[in-house]
This record gives sequence, C-alpha cells and structure tokens, in this order.
Amino acid sequence: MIGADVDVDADVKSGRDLGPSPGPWRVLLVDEDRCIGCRACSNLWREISCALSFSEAGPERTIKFPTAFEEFEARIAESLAEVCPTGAISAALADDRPEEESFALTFRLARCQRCRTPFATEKEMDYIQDRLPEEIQARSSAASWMELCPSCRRSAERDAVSRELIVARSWASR
Amino acid sequence: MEIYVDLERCIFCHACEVACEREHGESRISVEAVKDRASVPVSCHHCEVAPCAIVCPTGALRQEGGEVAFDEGLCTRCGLCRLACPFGAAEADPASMVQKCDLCPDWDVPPCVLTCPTEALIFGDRDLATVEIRRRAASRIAQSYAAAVGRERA
Repeated sequence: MIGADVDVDADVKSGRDLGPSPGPWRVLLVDEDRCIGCRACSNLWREISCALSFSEAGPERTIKFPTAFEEFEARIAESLAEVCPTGAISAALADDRPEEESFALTFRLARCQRCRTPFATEKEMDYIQDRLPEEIQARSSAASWMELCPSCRRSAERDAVSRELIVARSWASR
Repeated sequence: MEIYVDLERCIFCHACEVACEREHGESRISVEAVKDRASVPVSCHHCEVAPCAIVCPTGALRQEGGEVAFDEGLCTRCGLCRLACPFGAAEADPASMVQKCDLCPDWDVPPCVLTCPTEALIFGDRDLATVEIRRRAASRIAQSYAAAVGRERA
C-alpha cells in the first residue's frame, strides 16, 4: 500500500504549496497482478505514461502512474477505473499524501516469431489466450498466429490464400 | 453481407485503398503483392466467431447479424482487438480508435467495391460470392478450352 507521512521538505523544495489542510488525498491503486500493461489508461490520461525500453531480460513496456490526484481530478480516477479492462485500477481516500510522486509497473514484451519485433506484453497475450476458444488459437500448420505481430499475420494470411494461385501462375509462365 | 475477394482479378492498383481512405480518412483495406505473382487485399473478415469482439472489454466491437460492428463511443483504445485479430486486420495505433472495415452502412455498396476496376471485390453474402467466383472460374476454363479447340481446327 502506498502512502506515508507527508514529506513537507520535499514539497517546500519543489515549490508546492499544500495549503493549511492537505488531506484527505485521493490515491491511485493499481493491482499489479491484474494489470496486463495495455494502454487503455495511458491513452485516457496523459499523466500516465507508457514507454518502451530494453533491458538484459529483453524488451519491456513500463507504465508510470502518478500516486495521488488533485481534488479537481477526482472524476478522472473514476474514469480510469472504468476504462481498465481487468479492473486493476481503483482509487481510495487517504489522510496523508503519498511520499512517492509516481510508481511504475514493468511488463515483458513478446516478440513476433517472424520479424522479431516486440508487439505486445506477455500478459496481454495471456489475457487473450484465456478468452479465445482453442480452435481459433490453433490455425494452420506453422507457428500459431498468436505468436506473430499484426503486420506479419497479414503477410501470413496473404501467403496462405494466394499459394494455389501463385503455383498456377508460375506453371503458366514456364 | 461481407466483402469477398476474387484473387484472380486483383491487379494491385490500390483503388480500393484510395476509396476507403476518402471515406474514412485512413484506409482499412490493404493490398500487397505476394512473390510478384499475386496481389491480395486484406480487410476485416467479419468473422462468425470474432476474436476481437470476444476480447473487447466494453462491447465497442460486437457481433451483430453477419458483421462485426464497432461503436466508437465505447472504445477505450486498449488495443486488445488489434492483438486478438488472427488476420492483422484491425489497426489501432495508440493515438486513434481502431481502424476496421464497417462495411460502410451509409452506402448500398461500399466505395471500395464500387471503385474496383476489375470487380475483384464482391459485396454480398457467402453464397452469392462463391457462385460468382465459380462462374468466373468456369468461364475461364471454357474460354481456354474453346481457344485450344480453335487452334486444333485452324
């Protein structure tokens, strides 16, 4: 749980005026297990930033959330909770302003099996896999389409539907 | 109703892309060549069991009759539909709503189909499309047969 004593020094240094009675604060809570790293919240509110990075473990997406809201932003807290597809986001009232200004969640990205471009968080693909019927996931012989990025899925589809036509045309031009 | 493609006829002219872009500001159909021997347009298949609609958390994408309908007002731009489409036919860059064929409900026949100079795009139900594509294939066979017979007689 985020939230601790109000760090007055930090606020004086950063030039903020908290006023005579700072609380209660609206704090943003994100359930790390539920969050799949999609971009619904960061698309809605630009205070939540979403960045791609590379580490030793591979490509990663980092989503940075602010810890607390100003009072006039209370409505945004509700919208964020509404927009989150997994119900990972909620807002609560706290007497004290959280020490940290922001916190970040980092997600490993899955790479396309054809072009090697990172295209989705592993948790996003797990979320989709849990919901789709098996017969939709297993299609054709090669690697499942779920392991390809959208652009390579289009190419794979093109190759598949034009295979016979290409054979016929190659034969005709001999 | 859906848009079907007769691959034999697609000539890689991109007229459908241009027509779609004029209608929607961004093209929702994309044509690319395969091995310099064929060209294949790809757009939303309006799947009977649509993965995009299954994963859509708000019901912005939903199955309605024979098509996958999209309600912009409900879209949260989470991007899950893009990741769930087996054909890569739903484009959704983070800044915009999902771009996906809506079969142009304001038109009797979608502009991409009207524009296609070779009638490679066919608008109709599956029966109509398969009948038409079969008729064309049969006519090609008949023509080449007639030509061969003609050569023999000459």
